[in-house]
Amino acid sequence: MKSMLFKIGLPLPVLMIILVAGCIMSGTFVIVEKFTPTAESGFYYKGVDFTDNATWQEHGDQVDFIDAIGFELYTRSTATEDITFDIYVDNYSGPDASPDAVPGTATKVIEGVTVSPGTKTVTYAESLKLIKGLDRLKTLAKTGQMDLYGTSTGGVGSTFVIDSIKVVVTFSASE
Amino acid sequence: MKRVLLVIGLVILMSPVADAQGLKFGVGAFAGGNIPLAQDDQKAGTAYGVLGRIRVFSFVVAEPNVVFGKWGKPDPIKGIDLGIDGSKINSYGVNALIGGVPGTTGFKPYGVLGAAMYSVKNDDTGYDESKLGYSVGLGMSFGVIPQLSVDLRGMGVIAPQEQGSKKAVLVTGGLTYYFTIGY
Repeated sequence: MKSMLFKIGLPLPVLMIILVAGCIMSGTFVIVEKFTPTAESGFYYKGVDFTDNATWQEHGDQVDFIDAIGFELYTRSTATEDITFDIYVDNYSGPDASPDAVPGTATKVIEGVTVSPGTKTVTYAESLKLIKGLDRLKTLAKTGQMDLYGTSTGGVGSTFVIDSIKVVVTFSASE
Repeated sequence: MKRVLLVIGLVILMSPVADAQGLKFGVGAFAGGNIPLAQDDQKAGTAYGVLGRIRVFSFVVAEPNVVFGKWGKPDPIKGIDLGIDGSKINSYGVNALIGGVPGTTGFKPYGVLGAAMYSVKNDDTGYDESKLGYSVGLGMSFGVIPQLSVDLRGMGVIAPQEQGSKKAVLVTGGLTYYFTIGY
């Protein structure tokens, strides 16, 4: 009986060691990258590239899946009326791209967010509720790069500014 | 999973222990800590559950169980308070306890091997995955009287996902009450 217990019990610590070792080989990581889009007459653009991020450089080529993606958005409006804006994503065009319109291939991921005069922060948690087109967004996030477009109505030029946008990507990776 | 449970049920019914000594079984509840491993988006949380315990062979005890777990709210990351709750990790399955004779007095250490259907869900991010996973651990049972034992246990859990897996350590304590049917 004791011999049987010993034979069966011995592999358990070994299995636990394998489990812990497996944890070192894989995990879930969060990266936050801040970008400032260019703005021109109600059109906003930024090529988002977080492949230089240290965490992404370490695990980016072993991404299993994107757990979640969201934004933290800081806007400022000096317009007298409410501003409404949309955000789109598309394949990354490279660091030198300077588009002047949202391409037809882009996917709308945030629609109809209204900003009253003053400053506004769309928090990460709020953005999770606003985001649609999540499949495309996750597919692009898995590459570490994407083009981000914004359009606004009701304010042009400097009356409505997206001060900055922080992209928060949670991903799981294993070796 | 249903097939696994069916096979376990048949094994229990055909087991020599059931024939010779009557069917001894226990019911219990437990609670404790739930520590995510290598997950930047989760913090330590809680786990609680209920279990049944039935002796299959002289040194193996089957333990069907249901566990309700929740990880904690993540810390701010690079100045951003994510403002979301930790994920829920619930499971139902069967453990095999190796050693640790149920329904006896005294101190009994045992090993645990388990299989369960794990569901990892986060209402804020919309993350939702369910797959068959497994666990391994060590426990100690202290029989206060033949009908009642106090258990302490540490379990490593691997819950496979779309690809890769989520992992955690459960450290729990609980009480189990034993009954005997027949003979």
